[in-house]
Amino acid sequence: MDSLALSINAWRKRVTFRIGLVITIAILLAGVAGGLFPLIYGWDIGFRIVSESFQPPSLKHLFGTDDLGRDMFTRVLMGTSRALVQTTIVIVLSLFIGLFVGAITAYYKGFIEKALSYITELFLAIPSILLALVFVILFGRGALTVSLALVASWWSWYGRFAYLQARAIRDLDFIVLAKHYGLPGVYIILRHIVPNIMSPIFIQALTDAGSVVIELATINFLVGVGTTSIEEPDWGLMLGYGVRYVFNYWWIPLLPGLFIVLMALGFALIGDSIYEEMHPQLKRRWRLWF
Amino acid sequence: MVLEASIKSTDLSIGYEYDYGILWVVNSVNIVVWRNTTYCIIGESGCGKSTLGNALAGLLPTYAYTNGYLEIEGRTVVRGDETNYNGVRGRIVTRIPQDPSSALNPYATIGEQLVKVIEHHYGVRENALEKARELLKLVKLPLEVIDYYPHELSGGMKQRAAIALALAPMPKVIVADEPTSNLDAYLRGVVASLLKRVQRELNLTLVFITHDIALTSVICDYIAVMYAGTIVEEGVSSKVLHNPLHPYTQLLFKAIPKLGYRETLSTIPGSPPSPTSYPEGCRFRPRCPVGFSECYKAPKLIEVKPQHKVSCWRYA
Amino acid sequence: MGITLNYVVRRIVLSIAIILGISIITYVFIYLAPGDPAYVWAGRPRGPLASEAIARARVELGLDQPIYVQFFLHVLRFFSGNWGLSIRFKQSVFSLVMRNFASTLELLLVSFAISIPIGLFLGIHSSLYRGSKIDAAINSLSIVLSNTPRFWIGLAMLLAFTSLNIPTYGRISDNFRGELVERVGLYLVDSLLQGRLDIFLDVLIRIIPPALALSLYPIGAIARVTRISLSEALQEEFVREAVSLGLPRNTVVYGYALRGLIPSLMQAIGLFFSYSLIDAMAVEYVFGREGLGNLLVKAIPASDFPLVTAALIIVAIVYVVTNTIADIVQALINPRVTM
Repeated sequence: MDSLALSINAWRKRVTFRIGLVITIAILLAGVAGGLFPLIYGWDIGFRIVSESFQPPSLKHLFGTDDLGRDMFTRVLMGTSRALVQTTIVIVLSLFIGLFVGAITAYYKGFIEKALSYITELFLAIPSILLALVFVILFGRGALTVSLALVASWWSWYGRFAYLQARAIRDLDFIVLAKHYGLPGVYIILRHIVPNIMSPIFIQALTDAGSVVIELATINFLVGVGTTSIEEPDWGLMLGYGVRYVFNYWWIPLLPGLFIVLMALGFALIGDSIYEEMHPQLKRRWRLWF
Repeated sequence: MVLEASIKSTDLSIGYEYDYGILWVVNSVNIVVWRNTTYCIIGESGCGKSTLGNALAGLLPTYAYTNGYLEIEGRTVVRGDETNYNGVRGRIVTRIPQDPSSALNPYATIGEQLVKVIEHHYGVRENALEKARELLKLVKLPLEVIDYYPHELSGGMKQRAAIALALAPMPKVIVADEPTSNLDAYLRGVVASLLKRVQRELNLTLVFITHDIALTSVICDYIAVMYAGTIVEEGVSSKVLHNPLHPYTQLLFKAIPKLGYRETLSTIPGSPPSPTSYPEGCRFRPRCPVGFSECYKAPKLIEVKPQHKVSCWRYA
Repeated sequence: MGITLNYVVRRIVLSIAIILGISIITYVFIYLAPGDPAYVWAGRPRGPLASEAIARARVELGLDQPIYVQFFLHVLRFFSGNWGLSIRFKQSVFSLVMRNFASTLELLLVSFAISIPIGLFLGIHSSLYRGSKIDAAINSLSIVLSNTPRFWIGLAMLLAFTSLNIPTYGRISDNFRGELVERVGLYLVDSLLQGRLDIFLDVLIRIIPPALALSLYPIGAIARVTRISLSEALQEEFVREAVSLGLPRNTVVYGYALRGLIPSLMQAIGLFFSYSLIDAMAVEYVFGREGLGNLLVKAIPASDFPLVTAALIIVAIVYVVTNTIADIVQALINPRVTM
């Protein structure tokens, strides 16, 4: 179905969609602000000691200051743009890999199908966060590393989804005939299979963006609790690192979490509204049936 | 014999919600079904006959809108937008499904399903099993079917099992919604005559919905012809079948092949209108070969001959 | 019923194959990582003993032998329970994991004992009243619940309970620590076996806040899955048939529609269980409970590669086991499936 029409319908009828959109736009703005800060205030904004350490939230420092006296709000905003970029990388790369692996798995019957679906199943069984932790131990905790680490197992969701979708259409006439005419497999996969299985997977990916945010935060949280100092303005790291201060300076581990919740919720609400629009049997008016 | 009304509808309309309002699929239907008779509803697919059948069986989806009145065995089940089928479903009216393979519970044996229904309505376990056996005998199924799962039965046997299940609560009315459309030609006749026999033996009221007109002559006492959500012709089956009055019915009957004759089959020009764009006045007007100016007003279903009603301005 | 020995064997082989695949992947990672594999396996040691540790790792990995022999040795070690030596704790990884698994499992079991009934209840009612205000409320609630980081809620709860002077930090009060005799490893069971109600209550009070924090995700997720699949099942023809036969509402919903969903729901719950295992690690750390989480958190900064790998494999085993159970239940319930 036309995704634009779906979105317009969702906007017209669903409060949750509107709330989700507002939250997402707010998060995007915060991300842009966080991205612009270094341009305006110099590259060390967010790392700069601006006040005494452990200042509670006030008008001057909305989220207070951390153990080194850095402004938490600035760091959280910078974390927003970091999280947005990371989430985009994870979703886009996973979608890309998953779509093609799924389409290939379904298209080539026989050994390739068996092998690829085993590999997909294997990566589904691997807990993504732990795999990412192994990654982080080996390659360091850079923003790109963590994203790629998550992609390493996240693609398998879309891989299986795409496989199931493609398997449902692979025996339809337009694909069988294309094969019969001798068109190359790559062409059939790109022009016939992928365009026909994309849209539900895209919706799924949009809904998943919320989970990706949380997974990224969890990975960084687990990394963060063990470290002795953090430089990167990353939500998960800030939370994890801040746990040691929870009893005395509650704002350090708690306030950055608000942004994680908002961002995850924004994506999830939008994705869910569109999902409901696509499944009208879920939304019709209710009356005691039996 | 005094005829008593079993089902009576007054201006019954049924609609579904869609993006731009309510789509009325069945419009102002007035029918009376007499007790212990077989009443057939025929028409093309999409004319609203299944929706009407669902309303009779109490299976309208949760999101359906209703209007008018519907009485079954003296109980008002539809009044305006309110529906109340409590105590009517099962006890008074049951339904024979179109596709028995999806209608039988795949997780339980035929016997379990029968016993569950009988137990719920009449209690007592030993009798329930005995009753289940009787039902299987009635529909001519071998007794060992009691331990079979639905997927182990053939298409015709599934339909018989579904009929047994529909008879289990001992209803007074049975709504059969195209019970034969998934069967091959031979089994169709067998199942239809089984239904007729059961209807006679158990003194049931049978509402038979079909698009297979050849079958109706075999089993029906009364026939109603539906077109675009309205009933265009209704009457005793022999009269309707041999002397159709409405132009739609006439064309419809001409479009049916008859065994042993080699005449050219005629087709009805155009296609049935969709519920989003019903024409004004008589809904058959755009396709009608004999329409005239009067047809821009909506005709009423009136009795033009004894026990034969038609909704057409040519007879008004 | 429909399960044959052949199916069970095939399923076990598949499970082993998956675990094997995971050990391959981790092994490949060691090679992909920058630097000498032995150096990585040894946890990037520094100091005077470094060269010795690297030499030991080299022997352990069998780096002087051809690659297939190395891999064969690796698998052999893995299945004989020799998962290497933890770099951080200088102990056998296998025994460390086994010792701490019970605590994490106990937390998870309690949290699922909370979340399965609540999640099912919410999902079923949201589906029965779909399109209504109740449905909208439950659905929004489950979205919020499943999109909140559990460790964050855990932190907030810890803070709240502590300020109310309810002891929630740690797994058991220090006073009782010496008195409890560990038999099963689950303190709730152990304290009851010992007949000590006071210890039981202490352990219970300490386990409920983290279990609540953990159960947020499964509650939301179970409610969502139940709502969607039950809404679809209620449209099924055989459910309509049951309605038309006048069967009562509860029979139709629970006996007909829901019954067929049990396998897929179990599978989904199994999946959430293995997800929650990781959440449990984070929450466990927040509440200062011993367990896999605490182990893991300490392992990461020390680059304790063998220990993290072991945790990965444990979670994967849980995933495979729950999946297998769900499949077998599917065969038991659905007469159409023969395996």
